Amino acid sequence: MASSAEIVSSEYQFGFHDEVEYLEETKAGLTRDTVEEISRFKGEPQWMLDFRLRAYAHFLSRPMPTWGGELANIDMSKIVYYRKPSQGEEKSWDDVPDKIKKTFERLGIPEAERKFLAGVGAQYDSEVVYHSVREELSKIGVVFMGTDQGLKEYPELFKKYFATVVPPEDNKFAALNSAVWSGGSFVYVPKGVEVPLPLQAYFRINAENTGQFERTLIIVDEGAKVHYIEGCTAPIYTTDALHAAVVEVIALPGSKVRYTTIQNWSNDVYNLVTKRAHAHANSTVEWIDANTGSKLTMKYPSIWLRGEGATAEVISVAVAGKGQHQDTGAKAIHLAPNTRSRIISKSISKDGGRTTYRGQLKVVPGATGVVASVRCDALLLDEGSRSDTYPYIDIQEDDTTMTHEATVGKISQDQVFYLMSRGLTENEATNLVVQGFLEVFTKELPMEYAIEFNRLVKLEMEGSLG
Amino acid sequence: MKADPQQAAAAPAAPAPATAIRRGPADLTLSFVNDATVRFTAAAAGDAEWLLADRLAGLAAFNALPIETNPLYTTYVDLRNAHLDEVRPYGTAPSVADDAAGAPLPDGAAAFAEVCENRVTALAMSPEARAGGLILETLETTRARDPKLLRELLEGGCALPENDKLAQMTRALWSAGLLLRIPDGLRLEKPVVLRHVVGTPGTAVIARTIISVGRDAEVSVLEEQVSSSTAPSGPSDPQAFFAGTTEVRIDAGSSLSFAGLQDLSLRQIAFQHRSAVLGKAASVRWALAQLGSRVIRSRIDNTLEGDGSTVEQAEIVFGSADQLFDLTSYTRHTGRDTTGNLLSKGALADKSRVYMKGLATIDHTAHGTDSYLGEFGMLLSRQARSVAIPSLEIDQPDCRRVAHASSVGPIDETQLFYLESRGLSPEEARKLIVLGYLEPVVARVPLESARERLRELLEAKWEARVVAPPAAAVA
Amino acid sequence: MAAPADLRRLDLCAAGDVPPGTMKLVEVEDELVLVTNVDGMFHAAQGVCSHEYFELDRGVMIADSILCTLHLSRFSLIDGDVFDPPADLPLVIYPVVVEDGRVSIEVPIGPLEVNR
Repeated sequence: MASSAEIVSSEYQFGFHDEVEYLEETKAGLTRDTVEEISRFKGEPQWMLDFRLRAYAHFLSRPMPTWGGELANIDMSKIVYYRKPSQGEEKSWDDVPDKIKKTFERLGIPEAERKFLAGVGAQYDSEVVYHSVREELSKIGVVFMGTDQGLKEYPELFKKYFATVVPPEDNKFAALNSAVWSGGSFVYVPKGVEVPLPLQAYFRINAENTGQFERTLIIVDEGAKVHYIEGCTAPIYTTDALHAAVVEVIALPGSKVRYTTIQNWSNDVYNLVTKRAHAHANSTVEWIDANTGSKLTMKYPSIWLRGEGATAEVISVAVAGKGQHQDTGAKAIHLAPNTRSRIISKSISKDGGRTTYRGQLKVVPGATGVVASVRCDALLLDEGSRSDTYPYIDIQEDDTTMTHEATVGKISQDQVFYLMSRGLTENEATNLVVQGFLEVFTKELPMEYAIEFNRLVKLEMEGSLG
Repeated sequence: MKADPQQAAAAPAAPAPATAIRRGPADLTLSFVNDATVRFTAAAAGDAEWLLADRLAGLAAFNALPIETNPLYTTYVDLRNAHLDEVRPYGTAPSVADDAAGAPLPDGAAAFAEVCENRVTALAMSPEARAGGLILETLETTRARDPKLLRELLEGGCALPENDKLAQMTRALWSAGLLLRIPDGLRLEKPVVLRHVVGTPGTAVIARTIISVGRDAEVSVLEEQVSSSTAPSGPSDPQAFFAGTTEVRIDAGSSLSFAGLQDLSLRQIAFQHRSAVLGKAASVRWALAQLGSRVIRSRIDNTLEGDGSTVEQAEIVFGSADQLFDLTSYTRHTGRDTTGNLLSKGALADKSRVYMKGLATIDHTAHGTDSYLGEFGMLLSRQARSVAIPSLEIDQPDCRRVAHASSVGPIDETQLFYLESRGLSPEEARKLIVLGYLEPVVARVPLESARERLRELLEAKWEARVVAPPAAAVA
Repeated sequence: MAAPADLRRLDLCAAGDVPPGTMKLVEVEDELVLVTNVDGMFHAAQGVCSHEYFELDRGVMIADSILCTLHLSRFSLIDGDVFDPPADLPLVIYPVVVEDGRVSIEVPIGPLEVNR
């Protein structure tokens, strides 16, 4: 396996030019200087620096949200807001907690990948895969690169769409991300192109895509089709306290975009993400979203249906174990006629974990002929677990058809006993019932992800019964 | 080229149409709510020290609280159509007409209390009710008869929610008070009718009604808010204000069937607070019809303390003109094996709006809960609006069933087709469907004459709604 | 026709730039003004949402109202009133004058009034 130094130098062929300044990481805490430093090091155009500074000013002026999860313990002054991707590889395999190592084993993660996931070494193999994928894609005109690179190589396209879906003023953490963003993916799919394989953020160069403040921008041109997958089931071991990412998706008329996320951050991370798509006429946007890790996740994948005939679908799953709070949901905003949306949310709380569903369904005047449905189901596995549901349904057209249903309960003992009478142990039976509960989600995943995801859920369940 | 005639005719230099001072949606001026008015009210009634202190505590809370304390609901408050700067409360307790005790009972009623503006015009009961020990009296009478009881019933704000600004205002300034007491074991077949007749422009009527149901008793109540003013009222006419409470305590094994019919005029602004605290195996059925007022803000708090207690609640709204129905309902399950079935249904015509904000909370101690919350809207015109926020907070997985549902839709095409195929015109079919949609509450009104009246009111509202020509744009 | 003494006229754009049912954001004296054409009548409002910073021409015009697509507040283009939350403050509306094919606003001397 190549040494860190070799990886770093080969990376420079594709990314940054040699800069006079060399920035390893900024000092802890966030000041205006930090923001300027980041922009200067990246060699960004003036408009991006101005944008970052405006976002920083807004971040300061915005109070912390008083709703949602408990954010009081995040110490903003201790966070390092920029770290060069190759940093963090100074750890040795010995430093990685046993629990994480065991999980890799249980999930069947290949040996070579384990170190990468633990942030211990550069992943040479995945880099090779990434480059050959990129070559195939560029033949059909598809752009798939880091966001920093996208800004440099496609400045006009980038500027046209960047921050149009999630402006810095959207919320405090979008403002933070806008000020210090680094890393993430930039994807452009040209008109009429159907990308034959899912684009996986996982392919790209190691820690860049798991950076704290990644910013992803996906533009799918008319009639094009793409599936983007991020995250993985293995726990991401990181000492970063805060992950405040922004994902913007623009689905131009007639296009189809599916964005799948499986996130399993380690249990001390605050995962605060703003993900939103603008769906134009006759386009389809699907968010397939699983949240199993982190100490607190606040994430509400949203779709603004801006063009007639657009369709939105959100299928999300949240599992909250001991000490965890998954505060998730979905928003479907119907701004145009004959648009459709479907939201399905499944959550599981156990060991005192807490899940909250926060959803918004809005039909504005003029958005005639809307059909919308929401289904949220929550399983509470044991005493001490908690589930809350807060759906907002605001309808201003008289021909809207909207239904919303929610149930909360524990695992049906009848089902478990039936399966036990067929020879399964209680653990196996419970696991099967839970898998059935989550099936609407898992069947949307590509095969290898579905297998890993099921294994992950099984692990989580055993943890609670063991 | 000359100035565009269209624009010239529109007086380009004139400012935008005036709404005097632009208010925020949560701004409300109640200029009479102050220390002086509270003291006057207490003095006029001859209140004891404790009661004056209680009123002042309510005033302090009013001053400190925002209109909406629940962060879930702060954006769904709109009091801009309430113009209450000029209203003044009566201040003194209602005088009792000489013939109040002898007033005729409505057909089929066991007891009847009527308060018209600031005068008690009826306070009567049937011989059976009297023999059974029923008490129906003004709080003035309670004060004189049993001051300790009055203190027990009112001190500390009792069942009024501490975090509700408008409930606390009522605590500070109530002057019309009624007590209905059903003694242990009394089962009254016929309903008790309580009626407030209000609506004189420039007046504020602030009323408290306490209903105390002893053990193993059974009673039904019909509460009506009716308009005293028959004068036509438009958006710029001076308004009248009504703030009323219905504070219910139901002891073990008892049940209360409560029907509420609010049909105040369009010049009325009304705030209603209802609450029920239930003992073991106690039950309450709320059937509420909201038809009137320009702005009606209604809040219901149910506390299912006693094991096996139940609440069944159905609230219907039929909106027209630019009415706003702001409905909040909090149901808290703390005892074991409790049941909650809560339903809101709104039919909205013209430019009317309904906010249905229901929250069911299942505490950790509430094993075996069965909770259902449904919020449904039927929009009858393009400018109508329905907002539903059916929420759940569950802290105890051991539930029998916890579910909620919400739907909004136009009149069902299949139903329409079926009725038209039976010979009804499209208009008649629509009417039948809408009235059928609202029937669940109508059926639960315990007095036939009131049921009939409600049906007539609903029909009249249907006829009066503006039927827009099909091609009209959204204005 | 000249403006009265304590008012002044600010030229915004050509009437032809804003066909019925459309809007245009114009910068004037460091402030943004939203010009809209509702069924042939011109209106002018502050160009930035009164709730959080967002240029309203990136929102959606719905009949005689404007929807800010940042947090979904909606305002009347006629009198600036808030139709949909979370905005609290209305949009400031500037009186419009159309002359010689140009759309202008007539406003008091001094900085342009804006609700933020």
